Amino acid sequence: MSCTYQDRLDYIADYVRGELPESEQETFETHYLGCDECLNDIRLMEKATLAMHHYGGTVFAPKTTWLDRLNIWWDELPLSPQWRTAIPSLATYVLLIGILSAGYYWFNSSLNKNGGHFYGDQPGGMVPEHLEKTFVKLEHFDWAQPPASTTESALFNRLAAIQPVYQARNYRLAADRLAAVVADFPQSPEAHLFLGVSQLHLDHTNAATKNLKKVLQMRPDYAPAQWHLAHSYLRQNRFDDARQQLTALIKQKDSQFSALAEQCLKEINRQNK
Amino acid sequence: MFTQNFIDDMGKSPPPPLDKEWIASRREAVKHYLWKKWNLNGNDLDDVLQETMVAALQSFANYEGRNNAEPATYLIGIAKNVVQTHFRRRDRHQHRRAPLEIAESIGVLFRDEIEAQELAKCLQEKISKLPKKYVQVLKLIYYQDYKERDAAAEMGIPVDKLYSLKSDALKRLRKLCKKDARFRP
Repeated sequence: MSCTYQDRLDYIADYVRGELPESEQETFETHYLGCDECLNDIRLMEKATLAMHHYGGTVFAPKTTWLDRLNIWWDELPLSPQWRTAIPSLATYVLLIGILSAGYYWFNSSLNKNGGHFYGDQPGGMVPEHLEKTFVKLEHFDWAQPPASTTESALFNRLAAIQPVYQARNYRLAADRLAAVVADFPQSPEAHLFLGVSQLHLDHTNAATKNLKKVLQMRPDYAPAQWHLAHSYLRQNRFDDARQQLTALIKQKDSQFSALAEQCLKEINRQNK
Repeated sequence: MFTQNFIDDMGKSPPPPLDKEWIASRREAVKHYLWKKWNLNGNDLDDVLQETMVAALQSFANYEGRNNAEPATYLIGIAKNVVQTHFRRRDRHQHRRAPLEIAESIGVLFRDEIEAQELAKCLQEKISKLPKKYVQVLKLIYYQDYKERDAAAEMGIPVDKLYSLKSDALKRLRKLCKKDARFRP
């Protein structure tokens, strides 16, 4: 049976402290002799009251945290005032060095993962091993005998001047110079192609894709541009675009690039990309 | 007012039947009453408790329960008779006057002093969860033995407010303690 007595807890608290008038005390005693709920609360209150009264120093002591304990431990250490000042300064210095080292290590490892580029074009993606061969093949592009479409001698001279830089794999300088050529000869697929390939070497995949697409707008069947555009897509993890580009290249039956494209497509399919 | 509430509430529900089982179930309550009211401890407490229970079990058939009286009235009457006989034999009569000491509570509330100390640490955990005002009220009243009026003056609040704070603090503390098995009987 649940006790329906109102203000029970205040009443119990007064009873426990012996502050109830005699008559009320007797009435309450008669009640709790028959009421389990009140008896349990009386016992709880008796325990708590006794503990607060006799162990108040413990019960009302502010709870110490690990920081307080550390402070007490530090205060009790037998150190001279000079050491008391020096040790925290040294600890702060060591902590700072630690944080900086960790930051440097993290930055460096990120840089390595991204092939030396922290911002800008993110290379990443799948790059088949045999792709390197294609750069070699392109480097063996016959600079002395450009395609028939390269009719302008000025353009030819400019490209021939860049050839040593490009073949020396100084792609940054080559890209700068090729960009100037592209500005002067915006309708030259060769200039766009070499600029795109140089940018690909520099892992500037977005810019490379843009230039290689321009080449294909001018000459849709230009196999080296198709191949390198596919390569650029792969680096950006755009597998469907790369697959589409490679399929188109295979259909062309180009003696140099179609076989490579087939091989590359198989590799992509094998890896389920 | 308290008494009136109490009596009113008692009138609402019928008293439980007085039988052997009920009497046996009140053993702990009688023990607490004898300890708290009559300041009995140790062997004296055990003897008087035993005598009370035996007397109650032997004579409950004679109890008439007039005016719809609580069976506890019968039990408390028996306990008073037994304890007075006990004091006559010992030539002393002792109501509790002084506040309780830990030593007096051993065997009734605590098994030993270690249990009391552990409970104090546990109580510290609970009290640290209470708002500061509640802690201050409890500390002044239950540790530093302030009367409510003095505690209110110390805290710079009206007495009514202090009563209200004390009441709320006890309710919160009870709620926290009830969840903990260490505080259960």
